[in-house]
Amino acid sequence: MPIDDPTLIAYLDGQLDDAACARLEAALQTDADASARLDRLARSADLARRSFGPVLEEPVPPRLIDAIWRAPDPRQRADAGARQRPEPASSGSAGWGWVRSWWSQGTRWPAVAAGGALASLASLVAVLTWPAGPWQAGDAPERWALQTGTTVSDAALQRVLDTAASGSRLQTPQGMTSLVASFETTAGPCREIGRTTADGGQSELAVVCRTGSDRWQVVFAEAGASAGYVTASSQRQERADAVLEKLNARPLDDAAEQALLGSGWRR
Amino acid sequence: MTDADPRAQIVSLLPRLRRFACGLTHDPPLADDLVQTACLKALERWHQWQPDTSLASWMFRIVQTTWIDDYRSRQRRPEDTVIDDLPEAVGEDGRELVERRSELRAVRLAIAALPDDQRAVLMLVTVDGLSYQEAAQALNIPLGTVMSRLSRARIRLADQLGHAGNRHAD
Repeated sequence: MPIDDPTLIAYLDGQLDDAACARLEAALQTDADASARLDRLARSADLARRSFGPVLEEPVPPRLIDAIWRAPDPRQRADAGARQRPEPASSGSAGWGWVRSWWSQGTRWPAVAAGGALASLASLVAVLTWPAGPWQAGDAPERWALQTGTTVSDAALQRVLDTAASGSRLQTPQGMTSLVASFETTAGPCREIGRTTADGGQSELAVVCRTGSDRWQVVFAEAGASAGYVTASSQRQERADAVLEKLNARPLDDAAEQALLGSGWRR
Repeated sequence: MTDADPRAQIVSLLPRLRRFACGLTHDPPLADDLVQTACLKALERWHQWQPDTSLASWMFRIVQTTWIDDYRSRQRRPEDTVIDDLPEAVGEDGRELVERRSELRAVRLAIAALPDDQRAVLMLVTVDGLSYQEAAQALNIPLGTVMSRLSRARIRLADQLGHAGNRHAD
């Protein structure tokens, strides 16, 4: 019986059952042509595997890993309040329209420089390894919410503010924090953040500014019950925008934000 | 496994997804772009993945469909490809290295010249080591189609490399 190439290929790929293997191996004993074809097919398959071996072994580009980690955790899809990272404002633009761009399905995250990737990955690891903080789900919301005029005292949140790039969403023991954007203002560098409690019941929008000390000062914070997602016409957002406008805030682009992340927010 | 962060599960598959995408595109920068788009698409559609099925097969399928739907028209002509940009094996030198590089380059060119559907099956079965059944699931095609495409690809590859077999595949 002639042995065709598909049978030889299935044999090489381990797709023949034991009985078929035995029949083929017996036939190959007396079929020198088929045996030679088997060797040639095996060699070309081996070359195909080896030609792509280095791709498997080389390091995955950090920007690719970071782009995935920047995407929201699908398990948290029901969480509200996170918004898409705004595109940096064009030069000379004082507009705020981009601040109102909200998260929706289909959002894409821009690739970032390797440095940024490493910074945000490092911060993610750090945050995830923290022990639970003083606030737990079920505590009164006022214990969780930030208060305007105070400094951020939650060590985990402070670490997030110090190290995570805008566009990140990070889980801390106190809930989810979304880094919306960073700004240069008359009060120094500021960051706009969205937060939700660990049980998703409360959400908060806040603006914090790095003062002369190593702390973040809360210049705006407003919490409320989560409502699935916040509309662009949210009065809460308008009040946050008003605070930023008073501070002559200008959004930072990736490079400027990375420089501040790298310097510990010191200029 | 299914309780793990989906992003971590996808990150762990990146080396295999990149290799598959390199085979489809024969253009490493485009391959990384394709993988990123496919991974973000997968996270958006995570609810569609059945946890009792292979995540790798599901991801390969998204890479393949994204390639066909969004990227293939951007593919460079074979003569313009940057196959030489694919990473080379390290730790070799001298004449052996030159011969090996030449041989592996010939293999990549031969794979790049295959029709898309044959190349995808070859990459999944011969290079990645999926079973015919897994490849059929990944590409959403019948098992028999996997076998026929694979046979044509393997025979053509052997032909191109001067290791011709017979032609009983069709």
